[in-house]
Amino acid sequence: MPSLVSANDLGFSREEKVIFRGVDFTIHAGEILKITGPNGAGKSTLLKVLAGFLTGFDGELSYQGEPLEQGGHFYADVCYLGHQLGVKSNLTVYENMAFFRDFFPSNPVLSIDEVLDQMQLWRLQDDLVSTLSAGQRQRLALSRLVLSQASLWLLDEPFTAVDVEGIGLIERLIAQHASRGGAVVMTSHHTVNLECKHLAMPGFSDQGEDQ
Amino acid sequence: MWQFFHKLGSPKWFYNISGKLMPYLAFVAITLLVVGAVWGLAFAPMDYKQGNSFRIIYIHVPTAFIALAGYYLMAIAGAISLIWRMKMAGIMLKVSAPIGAAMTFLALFTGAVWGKPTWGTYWVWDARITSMLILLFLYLGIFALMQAFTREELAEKSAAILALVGTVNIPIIYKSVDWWYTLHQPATLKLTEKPSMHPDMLWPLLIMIAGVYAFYALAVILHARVEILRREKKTGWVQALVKQ
Amino acid sequence: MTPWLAFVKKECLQVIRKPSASLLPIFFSLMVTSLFPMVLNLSEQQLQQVAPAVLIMILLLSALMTTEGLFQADFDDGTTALLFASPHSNYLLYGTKVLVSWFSSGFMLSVFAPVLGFILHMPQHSVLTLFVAFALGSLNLIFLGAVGAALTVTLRNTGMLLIFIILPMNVPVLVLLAAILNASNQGLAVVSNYLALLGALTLMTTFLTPWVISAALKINLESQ
Repeated sequence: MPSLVSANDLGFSREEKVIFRGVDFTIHAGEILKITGPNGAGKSTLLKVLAGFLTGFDGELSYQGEPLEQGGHFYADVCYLGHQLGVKSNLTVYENMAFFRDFFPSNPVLSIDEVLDQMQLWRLQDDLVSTLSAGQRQRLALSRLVLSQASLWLLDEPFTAVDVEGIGLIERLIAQHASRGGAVVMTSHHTVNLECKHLAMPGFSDQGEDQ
Repeated sequence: MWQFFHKLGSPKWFYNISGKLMPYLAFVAITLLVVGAVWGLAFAPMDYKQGNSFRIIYIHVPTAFIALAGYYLMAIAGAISLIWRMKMAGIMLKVSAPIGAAMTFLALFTGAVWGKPTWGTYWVWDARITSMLILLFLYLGIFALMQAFTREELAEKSAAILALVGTVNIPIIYKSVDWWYTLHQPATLKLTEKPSMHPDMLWPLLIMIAGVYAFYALAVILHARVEILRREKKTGWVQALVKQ
Repeated sequence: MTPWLAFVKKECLQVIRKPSASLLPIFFSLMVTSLFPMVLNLSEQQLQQVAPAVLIMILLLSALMTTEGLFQADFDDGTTALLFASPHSNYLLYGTKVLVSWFSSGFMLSVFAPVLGFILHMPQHSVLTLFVAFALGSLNLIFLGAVGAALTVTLRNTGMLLIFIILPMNVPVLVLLAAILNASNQGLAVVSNYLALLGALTLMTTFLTPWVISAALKINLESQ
């Protein structure tokens, strides 16, 4: 079975400054990859490169065994969740979800009601997002992942501002996604109760080579 | 060819080569300017209508030429820095904006000085002067946009996009301004129509045009060299240069 | 529902949630327009003569105020990044976004343009001309202003800067509007020709600028 995404000596630099380099990993369907490294190691940037926000990486990145050309990407098959949640605060929870479902390539069998239920946002569906708490917003943003049919989830610190219950929910979602043949690449400072592979950003960990 | 292009993009290479070329360029620029100015101001025949005041065209026309050409040069540099991410092109874009603005201002200023004795007023709202003023605003806009950013790369890219939009817009602006003024004052002011010039007047003008172009190139290179040193101050070759 | 329609729906909903964005330009224009007769103390004839200049300045200012911060909310909450990482054409999306924003502000103002003309004693036959000229003019000005807004999306308090970088680009539109309104004052038949010219210019701006807007947003996104 070909890998979903693999990186070979992947690097990214900006304004002559190397943000990261020499990243190698392979991720298959059903796997969870957790990226570790201190602040400034380029974890978030790596996720943004994978998400296609940043063009012009160095090294090689392949999707389903096919190397990506510069400028090309597998947009339809990734779903990214970062610090900026991408939810509109002057729309209601339901309206946001409807936009996620209709705009991004989404899972046709899942209904918004089911997702509202699953994310425990049922009661809040007609509330404006601006009235929601940080944790509730995070759950709304996660519903974009649940609704999407993308196989690769990219999560940048998904546990920020989430209570214990919320953490459990997110972990369940990730495990569920992996068990259905999806893949997850994530960064987190928390220890995660999930079976996952680890990738240390090179140059910053004990095992990593020095530059 | 590609190699040359690539080398040109390297600030270090540019700094070295421009350092060698600069004395020659300075010599050419100064010679042309001195010869053109002396010939134009002292020896060219007097205009039979305007008297001696016409002699200001020896500064006015060359600066007006370079003002517009400079905008396009700046935009081309911007395009190169956007497409090929060439460092030198970004530096050129940055340094040529204030120089171009200065040239445009000089053209406007000399035009006003020329206007007073010739038409009795410093300023008329005719098509050519208005277009020139808008060109000055376009330059200042690019300059202001670049100043607003703290990140140099972003400043350059934004300025490059704005400059490119400007190049598409300039012909439309010129055309519309021209149209507007012909609509309102049909042929009352014929300041823009030049009778054919006497060769004795034309030659010094051509020399001055060449001289101002050379001077412009010199000014851009000088500013670019300063900018290179500022940006690359942490690199080894600049450190070595400072220690010398 | 197609992705594009979903996007249109979202943009429209956001506009509806904030009716002040549509109403403020109208109130602003009404107030400023009525200030002129108060301070100028001119005869009807004279007012009519200065009317084009006043109306054009008002249109220009309200268009610039509309575009300031047009992309800021989207950029700050991460929507811009998501749009870029979606499989849909950003050219189309940003063209649509600006069009929706124009409809809610510029177009609404155009409906009130004849009232503004009435305040300044523009002739009665200029009602339709005022509406069409304002609609086309604001469309053009808002698309151009959106370029400036996209370029300055990471900066704060950009009002003055926006005016500075975009105003020179607005000159052709202003010139055409001035020609149209003056000709309309004089009752010249050539008005329709000028309107057609303005339409052509607006069409060009509408089709070219979304490309610049998405490029400008992209470079800002990539440098984050």
